[in-house]
Amino acid sequence: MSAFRSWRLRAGVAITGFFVLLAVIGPFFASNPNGFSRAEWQPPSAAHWLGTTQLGQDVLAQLVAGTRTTLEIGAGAGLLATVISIVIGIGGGYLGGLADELLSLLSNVVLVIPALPLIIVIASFVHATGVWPTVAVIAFVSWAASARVLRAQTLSVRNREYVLSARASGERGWRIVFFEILPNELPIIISQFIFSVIFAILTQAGLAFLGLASPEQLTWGNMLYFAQNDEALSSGAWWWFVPPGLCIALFGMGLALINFSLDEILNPRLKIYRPVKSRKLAPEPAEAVS
Amino acid sequence: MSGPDVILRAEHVSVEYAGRRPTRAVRDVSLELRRGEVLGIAGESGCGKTTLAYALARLLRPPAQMTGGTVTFTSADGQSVDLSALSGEQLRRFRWAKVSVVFQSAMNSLNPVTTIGRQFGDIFAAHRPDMDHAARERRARELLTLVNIDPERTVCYPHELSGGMRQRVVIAMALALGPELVIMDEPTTALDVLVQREILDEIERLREQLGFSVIFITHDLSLLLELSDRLVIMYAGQIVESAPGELVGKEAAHPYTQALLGSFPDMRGDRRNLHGIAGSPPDLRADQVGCPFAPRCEQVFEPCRSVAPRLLPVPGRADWLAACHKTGGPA
Amino acid sequence: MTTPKSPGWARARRGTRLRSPVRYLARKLGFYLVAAWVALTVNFFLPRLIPGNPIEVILGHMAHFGTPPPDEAQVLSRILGLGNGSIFEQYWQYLDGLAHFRLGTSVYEFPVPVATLIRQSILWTVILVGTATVISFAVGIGLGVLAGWKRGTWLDNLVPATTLLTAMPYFWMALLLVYLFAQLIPALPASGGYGLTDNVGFNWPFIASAIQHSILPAATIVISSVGGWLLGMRNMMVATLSDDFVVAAEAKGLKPRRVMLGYAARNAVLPSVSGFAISLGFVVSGSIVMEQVFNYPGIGNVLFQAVNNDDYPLMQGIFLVITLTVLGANLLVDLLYGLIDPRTRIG
Repeated sequence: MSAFRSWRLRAGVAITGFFVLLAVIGPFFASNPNGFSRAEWQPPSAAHWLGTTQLGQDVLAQLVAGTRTTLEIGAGAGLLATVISIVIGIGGGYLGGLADELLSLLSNVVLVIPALPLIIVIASFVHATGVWPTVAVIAFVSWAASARVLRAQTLSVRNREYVLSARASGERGWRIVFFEILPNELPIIISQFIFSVIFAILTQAGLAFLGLASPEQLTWGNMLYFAQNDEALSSGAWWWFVPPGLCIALFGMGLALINFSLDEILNPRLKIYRPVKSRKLAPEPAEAVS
Repeated sequence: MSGPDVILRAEHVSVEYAGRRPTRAVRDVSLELRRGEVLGIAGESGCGKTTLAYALARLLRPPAQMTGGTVTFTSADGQSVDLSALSGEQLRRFRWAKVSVVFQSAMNSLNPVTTIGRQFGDIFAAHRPDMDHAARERRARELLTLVNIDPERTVCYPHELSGGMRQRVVIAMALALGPELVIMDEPTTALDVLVQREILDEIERLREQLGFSVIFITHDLSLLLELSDRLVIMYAGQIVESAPGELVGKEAAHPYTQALLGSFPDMRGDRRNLHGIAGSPPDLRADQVGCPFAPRCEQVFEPCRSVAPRLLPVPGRADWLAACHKTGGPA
Repeated sequence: MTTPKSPGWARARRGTRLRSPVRYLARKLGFYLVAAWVALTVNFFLPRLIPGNPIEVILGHMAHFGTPPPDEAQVLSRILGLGNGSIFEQYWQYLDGLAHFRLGTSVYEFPVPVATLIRQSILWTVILVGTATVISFAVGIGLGVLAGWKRGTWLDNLVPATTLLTAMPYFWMALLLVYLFAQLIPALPASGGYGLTDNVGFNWPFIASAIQHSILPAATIVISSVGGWLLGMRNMMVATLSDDFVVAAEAKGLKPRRVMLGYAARNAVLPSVSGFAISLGFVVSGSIVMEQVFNYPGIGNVLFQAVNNDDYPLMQGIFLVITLTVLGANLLVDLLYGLIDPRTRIG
């Protein structure tokens, strides 16, 4: 696919793929992340590639093990948020009328209320620390931006010929949404899903950092919490503090690069043509004469 | 040097859209526009007429680029300029002052967030720095009056005007600096028929009043028959016929032109059957062998498919050119 | 063929131009009132999420820090809307309490009222976050305009690098900055809003110290959020440059700077302004956590303490105030949008 000529897309897919791979097969190769040892506060060495924590645990092992949970939460919350946004955004856009007005109002209100304060407050009131409560809380607060985008797209799509002809031929509403509208909006849905995943991972990291995540979970965010609790950075133990944050940033960047390239591929107006030096060739030779 | 007073001369212009297989949108086109004349360029969508217009006005942008030919503009005082040689500040100063463009769909060629008056002002600020604010406002109002729009409307935004009014504003802007040549690319296509008529009459009136030359591009041949002094028909990136306007209306030399004429009704003529043209234009990425119209031509015969016809005068008429084996001179 | 000018034409036109902005204003105001009402109501239902009897739980926490006055249970139940009567009566009591700015008493700072704690800290946050956001927006949009205008050149190729910055967790970057600039290179203060020995008030030494202490926190906000605006503006700029009116502007031989700013950027910036709400949400979220890192005396820090101490009344109060502030900021931006896009003035 010529799309893959874009170095940004290749970089994005490579980075994201690397972390997904790490999540899936990493734990089989890394040592025990929870194993205490006497080798506390060790800088990176041959035995421990990323050094050890205050309790002598291997940082690299923790990082690898934490990848899986972090990505699970990110993907889970992203997926749930996307599903909600599809139902409300596309559903509202397709239905039109009062239903659309109400759903749109709902989306705008949820959008404008700041997410993290709400998540923090709900999470601490309910003591929601497990994986699934965290996923749910994040998803229920972050679906609104995607819903708005999908609604706008659906509004412009529902008057296209293929939708009108489907309605005229009596196809049922939900079938039209599923088989005509949804497939056409798939690229945007994917793009919004990617945004949701980035948001979910960053939010989860923030929650963990504030101590609102269950300490038994091993995520990148939790690693940062423990590191900060034990004052890793100010003690100079950068090897404990920097890698988890860097992983979050890199994974986020990988996803963002994919989104960026997706945008370039789908939106012809964003195509950049490198300026070519104008060639003044000789006039084309006269047509061949038999 | 005696001879017709030529204001614009294009010689062997070719334009290509870059890509893995470049699309050759304009192939070896040469034409001449005489001062005060209306030159009509007609052809179906994709024949290259808009690309040609952009090439003449130096408006091509990547991936489009001119791969051959020259465009020479001769202003009223006799100075000739090679348009393809201009660049940077020179090109910017030349633009609009001598040659201006009226674009398709006026509603999109006006800045939606600025008032009309300010947009006129921008033109003057860029080309007539000695004009002060009051002078710019005055001139803007003059121009609006010229196209029969209430001069109070300088404070309006584009969305506050109707389609026809916007088109007239765009025409007024094109005339702001008193250019010698105005290139009009489908100026009336997006308008309904009545407004179309008004705009065309307006253009005619302005032309008589101010004396500029016009290159008028459209797919609607019927418009050009009454409007143009000379007509050029384009097909697949090439000129297939070039002749005085009223001649083409009466009898066209090229089968494609004949087919075009046969596809719309004449208000006052006899009733007749209308025909479309079967098939579709050739792929402009491929090289052409023989006449590009051959696959669709009803009068095709042996040499058409293998030998490309050259644009040659119809026997007996020096000003009537056709690229056809049937009517042109010996191949 | 003159445009017919009826006598009422000028009057009607003047009338239209007056009515539409008012309608736009009313619509926006109405929306934000609804949103504020939703926030209030969510806040009302929050205590019911606490497992067990909320009032007992809160009283229990208070007991750790001192003896609550005898009628505290009643006061609490009124403020939290958990008092007697039907849910509507409770709701009314709750709204009544809010109208009188009675937000309850804090638990961990007992017996300081919640309203006082909020009042002391909100201004710090608003000034820091507000200034940093304005800087970030201006820099991001400005660079985005340039990157988009010079599309395809080396400047444009820097843009994906900013995605790395945007994906960084605020607090992580904050800590890194502290480590680099306050520890390794002791150039800037590591924490606090101002130096310890200064006199609080409108005197120059205090203000200077406050500014010095706000540099790192502000830098964190700016670095993290600038990428978002840059990327959005750059993409919009590139798309707008192929719009007909920009091509027309270049054809008119207008000065390149005028085309870039007055034609391309002026139109390309609109989605960034209308999407400001989403961006502001990110900024606010990030700064809440960041304040804890810098021990900055803002409302985010107070929220953090409240969370740590299960101080429900304080958390509720902060949530409400933050939300209302954000709504207010968004309303301002929406009004600004109405000013810069003349098409909104048509009903």
